[in-house]
Amino acid sequence: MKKNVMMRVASALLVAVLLTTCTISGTFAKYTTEATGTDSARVAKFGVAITANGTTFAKEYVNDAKIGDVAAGAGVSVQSDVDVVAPGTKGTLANATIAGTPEVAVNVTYAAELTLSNWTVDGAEYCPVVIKVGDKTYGLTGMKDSNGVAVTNASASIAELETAVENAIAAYSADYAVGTDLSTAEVVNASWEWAFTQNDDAKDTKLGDAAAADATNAGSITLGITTTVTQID
Amino acid sequence: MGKNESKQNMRRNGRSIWIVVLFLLIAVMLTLMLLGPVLSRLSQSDRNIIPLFYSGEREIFNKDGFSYIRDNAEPDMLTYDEKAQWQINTDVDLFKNAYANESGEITVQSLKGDKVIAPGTSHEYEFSLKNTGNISLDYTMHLDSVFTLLNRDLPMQVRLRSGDRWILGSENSWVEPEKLHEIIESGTVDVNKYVSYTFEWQWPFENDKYANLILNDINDTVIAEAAVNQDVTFKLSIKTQSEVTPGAVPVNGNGVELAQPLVLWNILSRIVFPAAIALGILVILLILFRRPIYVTGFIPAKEGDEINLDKQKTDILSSDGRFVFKKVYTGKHRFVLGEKECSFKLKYKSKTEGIAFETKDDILEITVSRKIRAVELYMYFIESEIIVTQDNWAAIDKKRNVITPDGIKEPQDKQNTTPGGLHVNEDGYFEIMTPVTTAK
Repeated sequence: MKKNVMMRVASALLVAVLLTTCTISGTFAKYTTEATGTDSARVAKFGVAITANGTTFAKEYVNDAKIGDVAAGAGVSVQSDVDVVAPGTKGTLANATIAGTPEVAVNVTYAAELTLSNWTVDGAEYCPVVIKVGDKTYGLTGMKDSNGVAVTNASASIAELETAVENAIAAYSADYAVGTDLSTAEVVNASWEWAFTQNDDAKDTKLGDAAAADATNAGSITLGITTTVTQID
Repeated sequence: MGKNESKQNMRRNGRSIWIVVLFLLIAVMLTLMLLGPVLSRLSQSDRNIIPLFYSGEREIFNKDGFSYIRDNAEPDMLTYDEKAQWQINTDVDLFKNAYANESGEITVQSLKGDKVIAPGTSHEYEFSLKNTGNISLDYTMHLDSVFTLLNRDLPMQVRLRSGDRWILGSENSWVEPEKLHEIIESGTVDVNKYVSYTFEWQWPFENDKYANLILNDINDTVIAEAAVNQDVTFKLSIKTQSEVTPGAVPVNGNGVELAQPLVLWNILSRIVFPAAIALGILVILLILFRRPIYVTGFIPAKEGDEINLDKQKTDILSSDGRFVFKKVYTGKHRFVLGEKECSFKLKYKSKTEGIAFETKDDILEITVSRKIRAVELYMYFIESEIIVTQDNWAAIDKKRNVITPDGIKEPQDKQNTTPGGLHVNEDGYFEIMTPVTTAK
């Protein structure tokens, strides 16, 4: 094979040029010490919704035997144009549903306010309404439920009764860990009833008469519950 | 004739192109060598960049009676935290995906595994800048934050310190993230030293910004509720930049200047390197411009035999025993014909008239005038040797004169022919004319 001297020379020169270029480009090469540390975080989701459901008291009550009767007005045993209570009536505490799965630990607080007014007969406190919270019943001493069972947590006065019920409901408050589906949180399980026959019929009648004579001074019961979900540390 | 002329023109053009290429390449090399230092000096005006090599002249200095030249600077600033070394855009752990209270109970945790913030969360992040090069470095640090929820301020609070020195906020106070971009922290880090920073943030349950605690809670709740349907994010960035400290010199970890004795460098830089470059260029030029000689002749062998020159070039003998080697350069050569051979040395000598023969160390030296462009030799055999006849030869010079032992024959119509039939045409190219005269 014939040697092409010119090609060899050209190749050698090309290599030399490349080396020279590399050397000089090295001079131009830049080193930057720039360094950047970044991080981002999103705000943790809260997303808790509280919805009130139903009513605790009603304007009319149906006779137990007629519950489910579709006929209009069938079996109505108590009826008024405002929410009322009367012997033989009962109801379930209006409750709230909580929805959401917050990314923070929360406390669900139930704050109850029970007000019993004008439950006085012949100068003495008489309130036949029995309130059940969980598996315990609350009422004035000696009061019985519709089954004739005396209240398990008896109070000596109306004021004590109010406090006892409020505390019992407040005991449902609880802390929940991060990521808890709050629809599974324990809700307040409470009800009330005014037994038709188990207490003092005469005093029941006087309460009714007093209400008929002066509705503004009638015995009244008000029960409000505030449900609050708060982030905790 | 036309075909030969065309080939000759192509060869001539090819040679010209290569010469141009060579000059261009040399010009490129020289230009780059000359421009390199100038351009590198100009390019140093850019901020926030560091030349890979020492940016100034390699300073010569005297110490203890000896001269030294400084080493190349090798700047290198390392920014890092306990987990990783920062690069151009490094994800660092300024935030977390879960936070615990003082009792160790998780109170905030991302359900998707990404990083989150919430009221009551806080974090402390430590990072450092270390000079791992051999020259002192100046640095600057910029911080910035972005909150993506429009029309609502994130009640985040931040502060920054280096050791006990507070750069933003204080031990008893915090500032809003908007203040981050207002500070430019700067300093100098000597070789093998480092500086550490601690960045802290918190989203307090109760913010002094709101006189009314309820407003504080409402603001937090609004932000959290907005985060239910969209990702409301807070981004923090910390950028560090470094450059060589003006006037700094390369040193080792103990602060001792890095330098080499000057003597060797002086010899290499001022004598050896330029001499080597000049010599290299000279050799290239000599190689390129050395002129070949058209060598032809007659040898008493049969037609078709191969005659070799240096085992590299081969020619087939014609019926009259003629061989032709169109390009033979000066130097040692050897004709080989079968078992027979002849070593000779071809060289130029200005004062030589035509061709001179001389035997030195058993090697025939054929000396030709620098004007000679072609030679025609006559050979014969003695046993296994090829002998070149010294009293019968012909040569053609650049003026197309035919020179023989008998004298000089001038060209006619710019053409000439040797007695053996070597013809130079009006363009200066050589051809073999037939019939030819026989050799002696």
